[in-house]
Amino acid sequence: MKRAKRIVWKVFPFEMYDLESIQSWLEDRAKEGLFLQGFILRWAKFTVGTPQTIRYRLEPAAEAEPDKEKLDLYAQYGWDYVATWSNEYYIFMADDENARELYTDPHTLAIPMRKRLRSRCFWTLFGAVFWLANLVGLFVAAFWNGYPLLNWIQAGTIQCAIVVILLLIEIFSLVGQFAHYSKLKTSLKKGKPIRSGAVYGKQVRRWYLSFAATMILIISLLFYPVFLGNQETGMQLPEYEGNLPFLQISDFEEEPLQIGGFFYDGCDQGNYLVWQSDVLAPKQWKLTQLADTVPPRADGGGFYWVEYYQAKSSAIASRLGYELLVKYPRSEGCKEEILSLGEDIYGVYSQTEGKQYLLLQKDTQVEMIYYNGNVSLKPLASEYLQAWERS
Amino acid sequence: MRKEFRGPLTETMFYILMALQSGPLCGIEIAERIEKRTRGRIRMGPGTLYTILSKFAEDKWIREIQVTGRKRTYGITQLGTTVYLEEVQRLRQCLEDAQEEQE
Repeated sequence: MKRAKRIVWKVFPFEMYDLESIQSWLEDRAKEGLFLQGFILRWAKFTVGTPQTIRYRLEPAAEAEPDKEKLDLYAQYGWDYVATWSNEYYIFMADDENARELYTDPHTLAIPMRKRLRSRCFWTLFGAVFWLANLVGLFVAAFWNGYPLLNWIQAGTIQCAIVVILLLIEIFSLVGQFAHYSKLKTSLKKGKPIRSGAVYGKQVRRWYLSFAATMILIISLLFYPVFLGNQETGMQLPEYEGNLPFLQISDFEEEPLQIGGFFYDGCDQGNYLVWQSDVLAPKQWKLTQLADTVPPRADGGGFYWVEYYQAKSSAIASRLGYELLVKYPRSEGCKEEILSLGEDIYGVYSQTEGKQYLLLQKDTQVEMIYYNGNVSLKPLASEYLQAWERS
Repeated sequence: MRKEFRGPLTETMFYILMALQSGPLCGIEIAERIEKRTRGRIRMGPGTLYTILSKFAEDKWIREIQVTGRKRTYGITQLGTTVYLEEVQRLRQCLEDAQEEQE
């Protein structure tokens, strides 16, 4: 058989269980004048020649290449070894239409396939269970401390969604593969022959779709921080020049400073402001502020902490408010009260042993303030609400 | 000790053991003998033939007698003969059962 030496590479768009489609696809390429020479990963190498009717058959590979005895026996029946695909299958071809079928008894194909299919079934199922456990683990971890939405937006909605979608694709793909391997195992055991002339268009489209989805998801996951920048940014408070949508200690320091009171001394250490953005909460601010006492104490003074969110909707803000109350547990016996601050404003104030918590929520904004100083936050609630207008 | 026989042989397995009853043969000779014996009803493909020969050799039902170049000649072992005769007996019993059922 005389063939030209022009080389053509084509993506080999099949899963390993799909013997019928692989055989049919190769036979159709031969009818187009493309004759398989070998593989490099997912790429099949063809030489171009005169279109011809050729039969291709696959059988499980025991080694990198079939042994000489087999090659000789097969050759005597008109079957030539072409290539080994991915250490999984030997591919043989016959250009003589009278060459007898490679496997006249399909039961016998089940013998070399048995071990391989059992192993494939096990590993696909193991993989599916492993990724499912990871997915469940992520949700358990998110819900474990009682504030899943806060965890979710902190990690990044898009990143989390990508991870979840990636895991779901992986799980469904593995379950699908497991089903196909099981079906092939049963079908061979029953002696059903591997058909030729299968219609494989759907399988090819599915493979491309799955491959493209996986690649897009992986690339998105790898480069998401570079392209979309959903990263936490921060700086020392004295360096920040913009308007903050909440108060800080210096805003409610009393003049003159009270003995035993806290004051913000403008020091660089411990006065740190961070912000980030998320699809569900486009504006997120956190301020950690250390305060000193009057007079300065050796134990380092007190602590002021603010978390402020501007959510995409009031329902999200409302949920965030609920979770912030869970996140900052008040000690037993604390006095907690609902504040009357106006229509559509939700406010909770609690105080115990010098610690104060103030939660405010209105429309899409929500804020939690923790303070262990001696200035009462309760009367400052309306000032906090006014401060929201500054941003 | 022979491995426990796990059930009926497939038709091709049975005919391969039958072909080797007459003496050692190579793969192609086995296939030709079977084709002749079954008057062309069973035309064994090389994949089927090779797989069964490998399995029989692994189970020690047959063994390589001679290797000349790439040609390997197989002979049946005592264990293979026992398995074959058991199968003949089973098939004979099946036939008798069928005949009794018809009468």
